[in-house]
Amino acid sequence: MGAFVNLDLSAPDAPDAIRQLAGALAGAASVVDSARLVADVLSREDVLSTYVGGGVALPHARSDAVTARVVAVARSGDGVPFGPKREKAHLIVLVGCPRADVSGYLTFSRDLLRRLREPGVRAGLLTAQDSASFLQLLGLGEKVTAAGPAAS
Amino acid sequence: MKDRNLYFLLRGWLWLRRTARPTEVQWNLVLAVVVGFIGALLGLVFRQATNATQSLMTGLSSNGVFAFVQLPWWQRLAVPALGGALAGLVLQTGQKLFRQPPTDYMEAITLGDGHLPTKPSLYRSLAAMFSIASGSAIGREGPLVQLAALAGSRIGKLRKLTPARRRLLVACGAAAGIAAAYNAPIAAALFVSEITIGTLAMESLGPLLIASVASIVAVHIFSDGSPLYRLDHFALPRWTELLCFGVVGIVGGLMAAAFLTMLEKVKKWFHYLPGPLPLTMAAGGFVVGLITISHPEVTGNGYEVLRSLVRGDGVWLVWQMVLVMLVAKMVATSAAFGSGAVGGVFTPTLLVGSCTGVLCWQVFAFLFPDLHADQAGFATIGMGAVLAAATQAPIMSILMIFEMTLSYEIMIPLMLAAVIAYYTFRRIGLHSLYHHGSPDAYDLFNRPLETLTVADIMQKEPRTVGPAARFGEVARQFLTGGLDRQYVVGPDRKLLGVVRLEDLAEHLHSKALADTFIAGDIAHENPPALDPRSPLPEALVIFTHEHEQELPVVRQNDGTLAGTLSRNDLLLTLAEAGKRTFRNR
Repeated sequence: MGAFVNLDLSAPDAPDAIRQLAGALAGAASVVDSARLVADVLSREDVLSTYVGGGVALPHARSDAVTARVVAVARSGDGVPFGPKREKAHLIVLVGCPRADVSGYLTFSRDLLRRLREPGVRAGLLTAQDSASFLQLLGLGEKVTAAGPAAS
Repeated sequence: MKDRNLYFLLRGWLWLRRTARPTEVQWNLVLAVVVGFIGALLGLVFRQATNATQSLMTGLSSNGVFAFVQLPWWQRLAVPALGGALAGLVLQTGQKLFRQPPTDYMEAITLGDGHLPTKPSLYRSLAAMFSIASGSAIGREGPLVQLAALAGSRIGKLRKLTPARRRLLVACGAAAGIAAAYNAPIAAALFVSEITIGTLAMESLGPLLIASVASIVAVHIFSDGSPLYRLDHFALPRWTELLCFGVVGIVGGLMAAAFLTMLEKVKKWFHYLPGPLPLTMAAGGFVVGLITISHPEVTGNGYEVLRSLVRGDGVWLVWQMVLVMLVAKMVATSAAFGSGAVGGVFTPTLLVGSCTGVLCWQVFAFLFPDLHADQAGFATIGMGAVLAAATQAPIMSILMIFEMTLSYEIMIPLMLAAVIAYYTFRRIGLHSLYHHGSPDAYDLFNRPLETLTVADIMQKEPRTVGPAARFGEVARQFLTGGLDRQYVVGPDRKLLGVVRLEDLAEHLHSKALADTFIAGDIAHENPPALDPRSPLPEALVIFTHEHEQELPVVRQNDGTLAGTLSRNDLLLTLAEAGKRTFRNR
C-alpha cells in the first residue's frame, strides 16, 4: 500500500487539500495516473461531502488510476473547510482504491472510520509527534512499512 | 419486553436473509408454501360452504348420497333442477356483469401467462357450489383447483412477478388444490407437472411438490387427512393373473374413450337446446334428478359409491347392480357436465373405472373359478386404468391410486393396467380429458420461440437507486427487499452500475458507512448486460458466460436501463415456449 503523511497541511479549501494529498501520491508504485486520481476523488467529493464529523474528513474514490489501495493522511492545525457547510476538518484521510475491489474498500474504510470515531484516538492523532506514531494510531503503521517506503 | 423479542426476531430474520441469501429459485419455494397453504384453506372453506348450501336445499344435516337417500321422490327431482337453475343464473349474471372471458384453471396453466381473472373465477366457483350442493353428478376438483390457482395468481400479481414465475405459482395453486381434494400430494404435483406443464424438471416440480406438502399440512391441521379409499387387504395375484389386469387395461382404455365421447356428445346436444342458460342447466339437473329417483347413488361425484365398491359391500357384488350404476353414472355426469355445470369429472371418471374393474372381475371369476385376485383389487386397478387413459397421464394416475389406497402390493398390476389403458386410448386418437385448447394469440408463451425477445420476458420494474443514494439506504433496500442486485441509474435512467449484495454482505449494518458512503462508491461500472432486442437463445449464451443469476437489460442506443432478466425466468420461458413451438408444428 502506498501512503503519504503530512502532519502540517495548510489548504484554503477541500479541493486544494485533495489535490495536495493525491498529488503527493504520484511517486507511489501503485499510482498509474495521479491526475486522474485527483479528478476521481474531486468528483466524488462533489456528489456528497466526505466530512464525517468530529473534525475528520475521508475523501475517497474507487479509481482506475490505482492498481492497489493507496492512502494519504494529513493533519491541519487551522482546519480545512469541507462540504457546503464548510465544516473544518483537522484530520484528513484520503483513500484511493482499484475499481474491482469493492468489499476490500468497504472493510478498510469501515475500520478507519471506527478508529477515527474514538475521541482518544483523535486526540492522540492531533498531538502525535512523528508520522510513524501517527500511522500507528490509525492502524496503518505495519501495513505501510511492510508495503514499502511512504513518501513523506 | 415484547419489543425486545420482536427486535431479536427481526435480527434473526435479517441474519438468515443475509447468510442464506435466497436465490429466485429458493424464493419460489417459499411462495409455493404460502400458495399451497392458502389454496388448501380455500378448498376447505369451499367444501364447508357447499355442505351448508346442501343442507339448506335438502333440509337435512347429512350430506352427499346419504342425504339424497332420505329425500322423497319429488325432492330428488326438484333439488338438482333448482340447483342447475341457480348455477345457470349465477353464470349468466356473471358473464353479463364482467364481460371477461372466464379462464378455466387448466387453460390458465397450459395456455395462460399466469393471469387468472379474479371475478370470473369467483362467480364460476359460486355456480359450481350450487351445482355440487344440489347433487349434480359432477366432481368437486374443478372449483377447488380453480380457487387455489386463483390464490397463486393473486400472490404472483401482488409480488409483481414475471409471467413465467406467476405461471409457476398458478400451477402451485392447482397442485395444492388437487393435493387437498384427494389427499394425494405426490400425484397432485405430478398431475400439474405431467398434464399442464409437461415436464418433470426440478425448476417447476420442486415448487409444485412443496406446494402440495403445504396443502396437505393445512388439511391435516384443519380437517381429516386419511386416505380416501384405503385398501387394507389386496390379494396378491398369481403372475398368470397379471394377464387379467392387462385386459382390464384394454377395457379401461376403451371405457375412457366411450365416457369422454359421451361427455362431448351430450354437451353438443345441450348446446342445441333453445332458451337461457339457467333453463338449460335446470334441464341438466332435471335429468340427474330423474335418475336419482330410482338410483340416488348417482348424485355427487360418486365418492361414497367408490368406497363401497372398493370395500366390496353387499349389493356391489351383484354384477347387474354395478352395470346399472355404470350406465346411470355416465348418463348423469354427462347431463350435468353437458348442460354447462362448472366442476370436474375426475371422481366420476374414477367411478366409471371402478365399475369397469368390478365387471371385469365378475367375468374373470366366472371363467376362472380359482381366481386369486379379489374384487377390491379389480375395482382400484380399474380406477387407475380409466384415469390413466382419460387424463393421458399414466404416471400421475399410478401414484394417485397408490396414495388413495396406500397399498403397495397394488402397484405392479396397476402399472401394467394403467400403461396399457393409456396406449389403448391413445390408439383411438381422442382428445384427453384435459386436452390443450386452441392457442391464444395474446399469450406470450404461444408465440414461436424465435420471435420472443428479452424485452418480452424481462422484469420491467427493477430496483434502482440514484448514484448519490446513501449506503444506509442501499443496505436497507437489500435487507427488506429480498434482492441480490440494485441498479444505479442517473436522472436520465442511464445505467451507471450495479451494486452487488455479496460485496456489502458483512457491512449491511455498518453505522460507520451508512452516511459516509454512497451507491456510486460501491457500484460496479460497465456490468455485463443484455440487449432488449436479443432473441432468447442469445441471452442464454450470455448467461452461460457470466456467472450471474440476473442481468440488467440495457437499451443499446442510449444506455438506459429497460429492465432485468433472471436466469430462472429465461429457463422457464425457454422450456415452455420451446415445447409449444414444437407441438404447434
